Amino acid sequence: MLRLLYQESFKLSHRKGVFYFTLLLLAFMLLNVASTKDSSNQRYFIAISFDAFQWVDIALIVVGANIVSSEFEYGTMKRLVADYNNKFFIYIAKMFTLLEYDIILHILAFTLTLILKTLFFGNHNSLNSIYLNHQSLINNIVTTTMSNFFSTFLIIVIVFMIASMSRTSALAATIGFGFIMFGSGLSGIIIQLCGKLFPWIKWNPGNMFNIGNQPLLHSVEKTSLLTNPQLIIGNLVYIVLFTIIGYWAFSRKRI
Amino acid sequence: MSIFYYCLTINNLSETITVEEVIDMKNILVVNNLTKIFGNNRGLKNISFEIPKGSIVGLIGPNGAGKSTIMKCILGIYPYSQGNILFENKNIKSQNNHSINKKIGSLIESPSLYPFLTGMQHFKLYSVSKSGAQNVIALLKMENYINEKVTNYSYGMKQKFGIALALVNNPDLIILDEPMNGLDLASTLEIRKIILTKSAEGTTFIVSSHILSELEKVVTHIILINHGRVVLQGPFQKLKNIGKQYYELSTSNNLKANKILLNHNFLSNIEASGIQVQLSSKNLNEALDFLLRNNVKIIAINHHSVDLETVALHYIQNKEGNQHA
Repeated sequence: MLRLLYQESFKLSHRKGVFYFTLLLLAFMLLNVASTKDSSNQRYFIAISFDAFQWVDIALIVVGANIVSSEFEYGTMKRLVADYNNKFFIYIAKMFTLLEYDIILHILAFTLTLILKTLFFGNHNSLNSIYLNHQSLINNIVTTTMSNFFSTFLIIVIVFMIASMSRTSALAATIGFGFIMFGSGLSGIIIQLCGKLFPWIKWNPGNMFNIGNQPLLHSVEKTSLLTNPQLIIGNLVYIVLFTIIGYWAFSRKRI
Repeated sequence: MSIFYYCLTINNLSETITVEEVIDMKNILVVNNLTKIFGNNRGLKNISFEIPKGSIVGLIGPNGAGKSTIMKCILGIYPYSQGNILFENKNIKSQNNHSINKKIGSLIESPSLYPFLTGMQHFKLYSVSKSGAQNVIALLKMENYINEKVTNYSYGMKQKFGIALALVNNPDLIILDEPMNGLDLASTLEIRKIILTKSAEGTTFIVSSHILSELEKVVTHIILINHGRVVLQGPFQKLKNIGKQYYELSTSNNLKANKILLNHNFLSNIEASGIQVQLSSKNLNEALDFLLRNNVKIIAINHHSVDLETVALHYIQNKEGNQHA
């Protein structure tokens, strides 16, 4: 398994896209800094890390779809199976590798938030000042980072599942992007329309993505209709379920 | 080293020809009653064969016959429902895949390469030692492009690099599926030379190719597959002897020469290219002696024996003919 993890990390580190996405993260954050420089809402944008995690989610979708589908596109899956003869290990190793990238992106986004805040906002909006939820601004940034990090677990398993079911990485990325970007919005509309008639509908997977925002913005609970612990449990259940379905599709894919 | 009987078996629905030969070789791979059926009822049906150590086995057959499936079963890419595969006398399923794969090198269908990595990075990815990588790079003359990204390689270069990856750990068994695909003449000759050299050093090869004329230059044994079954298997030399062999003579007077040979009870006939005489090398001198004594000058002598393509075609068509009858 360690050798497999080494190989997956080696491949990921040599993908150009990974490097460009990291660079674009900085560019995306800088753009958001520029747009909020004269805004009265500066503290909010600092608390949500200049919206860096939206870009992190996109990077995970594209890279995740690619590392699964490309093995079949390049025909390299044959060698992986011949070398390890355990598709479950291969699947999990790929997930762990994407999780490594996920951790790196979150640490980078957190660090860049602090650097950009210091560079462009100086002593204004002190990190120790009390802001949302009666917590300091730095606590708000940590909450955003951690809750988004948790929400990406579900993103990773969904992207892997779609990539294992679709023929190309582009298709997997497109479906994954649509599902994840519009999932929570669509879920909100569905809950509003038929939440009273079907109360269980609040447990739909799209609603689970609210775990990325709700711990910082408590008002989200009014639309998700689920408490934070309920969202965590829901996420864990879907992570297990989608991992099983994804692995099933992955193991049946013709080499 | 154990001595055992190697059976050359030709199976037709109507007849079975078995030629026994004593071979002083140990089997590196034994496949017993291997069955792998896909959803459409195609696949391998109860296949058995043995691969002697140090041999070069040509795995031949029409498209969809099951050649790649056999190779994938040996490599553990496909699970199989029945039978067993013994590699160095141990069941392949019970062995650690990583240790087996150090002993088996392969190139299946097309080379398994990552376009975003250079050739050298592939060696690093597969934890190949620096000296091992340098040796194979020199052997296949890849110094000029080994540090370029694989995406920039031509098809032939990719194929050559795929072969390099199969050879790099000095495995005991090398499985090559269509290795000559896309290779230019010089590279084809290089690969042929490498196969023969490595085989002389004790490496065993299973080579599948549609270019039978190329394959017959290297193989010592053949296994012919059709519709998921072994139609024919055995040493190639032995197999060639079963087929028609003849000499083609070109003389100063072919009409006269043919008449002389027929008068002396030789089986001969005139073709556009010369006189075809069915005789063994033993009585060739006798035939030539008769011709020279009758003032017929010999211009050229060519020996013709059955080629792999003829053998394969004959047994595939024969089998299909019998099945349709």
